[in-house]
Amino acid sequence: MPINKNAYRRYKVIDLCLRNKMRTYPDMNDLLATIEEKLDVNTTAETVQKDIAVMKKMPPDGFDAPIKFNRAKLGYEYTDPDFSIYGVSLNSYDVDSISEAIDVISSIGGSRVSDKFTHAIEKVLSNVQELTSTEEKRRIIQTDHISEGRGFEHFDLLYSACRDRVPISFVHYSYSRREFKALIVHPVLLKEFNNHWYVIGFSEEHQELRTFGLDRVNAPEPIYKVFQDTSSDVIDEYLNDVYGVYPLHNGKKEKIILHASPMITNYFRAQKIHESQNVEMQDRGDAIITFELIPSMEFVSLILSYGKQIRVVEPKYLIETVKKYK
Amino acid sequence: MDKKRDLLLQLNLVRKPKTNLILLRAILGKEYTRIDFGFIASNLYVRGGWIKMFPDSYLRTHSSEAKYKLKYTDDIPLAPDRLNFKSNKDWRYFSLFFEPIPKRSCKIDLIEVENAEDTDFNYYGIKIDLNNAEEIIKP
Repeated sequence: MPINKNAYRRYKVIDLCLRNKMRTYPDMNDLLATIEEKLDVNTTAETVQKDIAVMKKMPPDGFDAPIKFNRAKLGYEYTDPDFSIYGVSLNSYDVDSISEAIDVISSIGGSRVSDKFTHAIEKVLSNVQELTSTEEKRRIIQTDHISEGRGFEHFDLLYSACRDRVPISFVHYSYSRREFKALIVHPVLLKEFNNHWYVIGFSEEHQELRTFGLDRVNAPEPIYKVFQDTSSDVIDEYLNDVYGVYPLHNGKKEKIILHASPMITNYFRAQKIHESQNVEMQDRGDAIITFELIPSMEFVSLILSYGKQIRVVEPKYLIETVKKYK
Repeated sequence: MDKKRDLLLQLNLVRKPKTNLILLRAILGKEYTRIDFGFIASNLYVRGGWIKMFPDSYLRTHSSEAKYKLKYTDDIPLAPDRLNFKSNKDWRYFSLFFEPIPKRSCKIDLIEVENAEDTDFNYYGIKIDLNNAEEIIKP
């Protein structure tokens, strides 16, 4: 016998109540109140009793739901706590967690996550969504996000190439050298820094791990070729030692010493910008900040962004570089 | 090598004597032969000048008289239209799609204009060496 649509909506509410870990053992009054709240309809105890009876029936008429009235607690329960009429057992915590995750992902920028993910999550939540989305959605997380720029259309292809270890041929344009080059890269990672996306991989041309801005990647083509893998250790070292993306100087890790004013010192004390950061407080509230990292153009930009509040103490070439861009 | 697949050759051939055009890749497909270029605007013009492609452009192999006509282009207009750069620091990646040449090692010429000048996009003796070709994965 096909399940009546209204009845099915009530089953979903009953199921939700029985899986609600915040309010266990709902009694008949709780069920009636929740149905009224969620579905905006009045129903009777007799109807809900019948609903529970149907839910306990074997499929296809029911769900074989292990519902029992707990006399000690004076309420209903699923004797199997993992049971759900949806097959995928999502309790209220699960639904909340997924909803929060969706919020965070959306705030980072829905476009950065493929539509496939959104679609999949919608499928998972489709059964419970109408029960959880009673409030109008309002934004409660905002992150620094600029809509995608040139090259972002290759994100999915490059993501798949990293995941499936597929070499890519693409045309790279270097802004600094004003030069085109067709390259073959064995990509291992996509990285975001300051709202720009980069693909990192072993470049056959350079015979080393390199970083390429997606905005400078043209017409990537996946190719059949043995993948030149890069070990996790090498990738970690490459990523962890550099602040930003494009290394300066000789690309070697070195000691950097900065002097920061009392005001700027607060920011550095509040949050490290690099794992190697060490803040040595001075008497006047200012600080000597040291790093062991590979300096980059992004590091220079950061220093410049603080104006006179921060100055480079060492090394000399970095003092000159910062001066040059002031 | 599976010749049924599209084959890709990385060429990186800088045009001489004017070096602001580079022939980057050739892709030998069933439907077309695609040639990828990069063009860097020069100081010759205050605003970088312009680019266009003559619709009568073609490819020819050294081993036959056959001509493989230009079918369409991507990111470069066909004459008499032209793309005017905004500054002499501009650049453009573009592709030309010709009738498909045979998938075999050979030398080809790209002819935009017979009796070309330095500014025309003619290329001679492009080496198509299938030993260096990569097979493209199609989704």
